Amino acid sequence: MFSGIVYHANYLRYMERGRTNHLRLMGAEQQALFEQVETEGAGFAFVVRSMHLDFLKPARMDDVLDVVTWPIAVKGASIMLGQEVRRGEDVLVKAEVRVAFISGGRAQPIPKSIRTLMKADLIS
Amino acid sequence: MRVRVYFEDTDAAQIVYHANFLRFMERGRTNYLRLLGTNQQALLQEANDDAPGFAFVVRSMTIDFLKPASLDDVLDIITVPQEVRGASIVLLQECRRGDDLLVTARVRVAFISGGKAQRIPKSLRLSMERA
Repeated sequence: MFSGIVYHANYLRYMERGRTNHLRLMGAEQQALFEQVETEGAGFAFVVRSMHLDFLKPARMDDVLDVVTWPIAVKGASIMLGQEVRRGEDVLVKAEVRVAFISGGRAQPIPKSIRTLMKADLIS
Repeated sequence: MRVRVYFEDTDAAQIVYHANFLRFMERGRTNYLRLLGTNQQALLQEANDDAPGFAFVVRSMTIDFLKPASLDDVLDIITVPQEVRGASIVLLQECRRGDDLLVTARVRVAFISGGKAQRIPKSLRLSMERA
């Protein structure tokens, strides 16, 4: 059946792009930092450990959505991010996402340089 | 319900991409609904008479990703109702590989008909409460 609304699992793809972009924008001014982590951590990644999602309103075909990402809490080995998918003023999906820092296949403490950078964005 | 992990389900790290567990769990929920009651066709027909063109939509989810699933794994998707309310149901879902618990989810689905949230027809609600 064609309903023209966004399939719920696809918001997770949008939100993943939002998180990647968030990280990239942090790194845009801090290219050296990420190179440093890359050499220290030899291939690092953030993986999703848990999510809470509220699907408030549907998004439809041709909509242009904003994905907003901000840190809620920065801990030693994981970060809690808040995310919203919006269409203009309308909040369509709200999420809290806990991501862990993985390097060499294992959870590791987040390098201090990244942690400091993320903490700077915390809205208290 | 069993699902096999195919290449298309995996990501660059060769494990199941997190959003794809939601697809597996949706299949689990569809299957759960299909298996409800002994005379499912009649039940669903009755629900459709009460509420034409009905559907269940996901309102909220809490998901814990405990362990990764890999290519060729055979996963069991387990779906049990936790709470049946007037217009929504809370389902508990697990994604397992043998004895290993990989993903758990708490999913609230609402009953929609004619584009609006509606009360779940009694026959459907009763069969879920029994399940």
